[in-house]
Amino acid sequence: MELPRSLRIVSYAVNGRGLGHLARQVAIHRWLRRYATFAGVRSEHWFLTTSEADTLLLHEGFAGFKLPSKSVVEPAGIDKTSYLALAKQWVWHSLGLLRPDLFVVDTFPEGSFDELPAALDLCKHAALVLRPVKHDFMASPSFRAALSLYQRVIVPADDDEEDACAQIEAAVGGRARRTGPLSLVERFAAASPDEARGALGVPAGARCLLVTGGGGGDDDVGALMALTERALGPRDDVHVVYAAGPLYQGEARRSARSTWWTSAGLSRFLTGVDMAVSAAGFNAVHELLHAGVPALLVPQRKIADDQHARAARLAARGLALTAPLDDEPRFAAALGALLDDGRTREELRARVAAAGMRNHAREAAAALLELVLPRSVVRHAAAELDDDALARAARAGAELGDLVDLAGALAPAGEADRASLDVDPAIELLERAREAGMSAREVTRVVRALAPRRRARAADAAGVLDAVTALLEHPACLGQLSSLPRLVEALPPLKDASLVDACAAAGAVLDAALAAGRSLADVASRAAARRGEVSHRDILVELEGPLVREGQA
Amino acid sequence: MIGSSVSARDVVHAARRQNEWIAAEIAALAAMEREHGTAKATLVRALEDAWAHLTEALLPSLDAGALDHAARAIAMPQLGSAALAKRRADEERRAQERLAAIHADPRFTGREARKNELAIALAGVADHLPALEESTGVLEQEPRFFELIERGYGTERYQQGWWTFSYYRDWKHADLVVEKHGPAKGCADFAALRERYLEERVARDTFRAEQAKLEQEQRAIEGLVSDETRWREALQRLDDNLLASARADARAHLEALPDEHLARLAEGDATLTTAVARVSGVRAKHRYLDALLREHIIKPRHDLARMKAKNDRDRVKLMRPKHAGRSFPRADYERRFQDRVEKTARRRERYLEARRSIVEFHDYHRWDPSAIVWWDVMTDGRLDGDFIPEVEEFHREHARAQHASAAYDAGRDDLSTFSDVS
Repeated sequence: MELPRSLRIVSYAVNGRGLGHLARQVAIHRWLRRYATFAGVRSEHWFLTTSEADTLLLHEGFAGFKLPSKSVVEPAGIDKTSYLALAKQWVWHSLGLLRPDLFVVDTFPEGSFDELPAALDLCKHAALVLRPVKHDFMASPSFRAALSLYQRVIVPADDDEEDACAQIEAAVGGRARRTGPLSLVERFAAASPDEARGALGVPAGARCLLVTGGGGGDDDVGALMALTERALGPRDDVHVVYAAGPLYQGEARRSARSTWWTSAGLSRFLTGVDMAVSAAGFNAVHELLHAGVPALLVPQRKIADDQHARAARLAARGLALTAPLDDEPRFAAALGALLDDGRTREELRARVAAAGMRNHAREAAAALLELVLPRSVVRHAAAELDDDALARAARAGAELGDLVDLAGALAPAGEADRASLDVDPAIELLERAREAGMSAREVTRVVRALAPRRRARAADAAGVLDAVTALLEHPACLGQLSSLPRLVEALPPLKDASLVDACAAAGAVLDAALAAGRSLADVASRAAARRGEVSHRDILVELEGPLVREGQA
Repeated sequence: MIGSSVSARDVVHAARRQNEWIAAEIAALAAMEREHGTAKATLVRALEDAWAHLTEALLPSLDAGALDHAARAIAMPQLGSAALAKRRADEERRAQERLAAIHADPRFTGREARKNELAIALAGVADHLPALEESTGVLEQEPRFFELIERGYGTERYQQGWWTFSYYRDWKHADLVVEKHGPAKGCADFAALRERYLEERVARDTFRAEQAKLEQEQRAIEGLVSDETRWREALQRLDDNLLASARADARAHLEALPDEHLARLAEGDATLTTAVARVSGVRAKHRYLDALLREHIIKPRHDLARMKAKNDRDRVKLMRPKHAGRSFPRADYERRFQDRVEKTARRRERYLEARRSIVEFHDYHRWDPSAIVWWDVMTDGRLDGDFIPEVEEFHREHARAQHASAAYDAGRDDLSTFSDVS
């Protein structure tokens, strides 16, 4: 399989107004985009959704087409049949115009309006993300028949959902890829506990209790908040963060000892949360588990998602506490244990840590991308872009695109193959550049300008790093490091020179400029004005550099 | 009397003549293109100078007031005095840390004494090494000497059987070596020579290693001294470099702006206005020279190549016997093979005049972006520049505006005219 130049990936997150489908797909798309960037493939990301919380897409930088959710159809006075007709046509037309290279559907293989079987042939590859659903759904013949339309079925299931997984795997055979649960929690992007507590408005000395009802669209969310507030009573040692979710329509709860959180991006700040009271939806539960937050789960009743079973399973494994919403004494007791029984909290925390729960979105993305990109490239991307690499790159202020560009420029001539591209030297260089006061983009410009042509001999990574670092830390750059990219871009290219040779030649120009008392901007300007007319040696001669006299140029 | 038609033979001849002219014309265009390249190179330098002029006018010094004024004028807060002062302090600290590290390095503090010691030690090595190099070198150059040493010739270790060719070859070479070098080294056989060589080799390698180590240390000390000098020089030039770098950053920021925006930035400042006009004018010169190249060199060359290809095709075709009797209308013939020398010369003259006007123009103060386009300023309106889209567009818009203005003056309530202008 050859690498395509671009990929159009479309996700189908159409079901009700909730956030769950959308969040799962967004979690996968983040990794699809990272891996595609690593592969040097331009990727387009589109979403078809009915979620009323589609601003999540804006925050994540994905494009979304929004259809009104079923829950607003009636209040808006829209006839149900007209809505259904419109919705079907909308999906068909969207797919007909977008013609995705990869179409990713969440949970419902036939689509929410039974419209997908007639439209999947408009997509080059179709895949389904199928978390375990209630038995009745899986047992439905049409549901099982529709599974055969997908080339890949991602099963983001927990370890304790073996039966449900086996049922799915039996239905789809070798097309299933079991990955483990997905969420928006990315450990490498998590804020430090202090930063998170600051963002959540938690005062010093107080413990942070998060109360969340997922997307906030369910009727029980207000009741859950009220119940928590009653059970807590007047306590000063606990600061409550009410994560109402973008769909919450009830009354806001604001006070001196609480924060009313409505923005996106809460998953980054879970490092500042000490414990949580949460609905038992797939995403909310797994975000808390992935972040290692001890939680009291309060299940809600849903059509396809069996929250009671999930909460009971996790409680049985000792990974969470659970209590029903309609049993206030039991809820209060469970909350009391979570808040005041340090041993219970620590045991929960230890068991979650021991269970090794993490976000499996990257595995899901890799399994999907293998449909459209060479497997060797995808696997290498997955191996290279680990949490450590991404965290270091983020700390060095580099976007992934810059990092990959830099890694390509640092690769030995002619070997910038995406199936063997090594990002470690690039990260190391970005860290050194940051220390020297140069941005990721500027250092990429420097390396790209000096990077050898195909015929140049290769140089070892350590030698390259030292050579580029020597340029960045050259005394001639003192006070004028920002002029270095322009200077190296203005220098004539060296034929058949390795990156180390090119750095040495540029270093000689820096030496000469320093000795001649000339600014780098001035040297760059003159070299640019005579680009194509002068050689390195001419530039050195003009600067009357000592290296020329020593015959080292 | 001239007939109304011409023969195929006439067409073939005319095509050949025209191709000769085309070849000469293409050569002339190539020469023009070279001259054009030279003119363009001059402009590249002129643009660099113009930007230097503009950034110097914008940032005359590191004076806080000047910096803050410039930062506000071009909306670039990183040029403000506070930001630059912080940058300067960071850079100074970095250089001081480097210098402190060098000054604390014992190799640097004790460099003079150590350099002396190293020089003495190297001289000691130099006393012994050349003789050993010479003595071992002459043996090593002998054919098969290394093999004899490796195989242990002359020792009990030597295992070669007398029935092999190698045995006799080794014997011969060993005897030759002993014959040649034995007397000088006081060795009667290969075993003694070998013993002597190995002793000398060990001594030589030891001296070589010592020399390399001493030289490496010497280089490290020299490197430290050189680094110390360079960091001190860099520190002395810190302010100059900061200013130059700030100007380069300002240039990078301004380069992306169109002329109108640049002009707006310079409003109310005569020096800056002149500098902006110069940048704008030189940028226009670049665009105009590119347009002239396309219009007067690349396009004609393309047309000529097409004509030549057609002539070649027709010559091949009409030389076939079956076309020998064909005739062609004279009018078509004359139109196709008309003498183009004069027309070409006029066109070339127009190009040269335009190029000269552009390259030699220096009155940048005459610029008024709202009233006149650079082309008309540079050519005094004498030359038609409508083959350049921006000039043509300006003239079209300007004519509309004039028309609208005339209509207004004439008291006509012609709304369509005004909507065109807006």
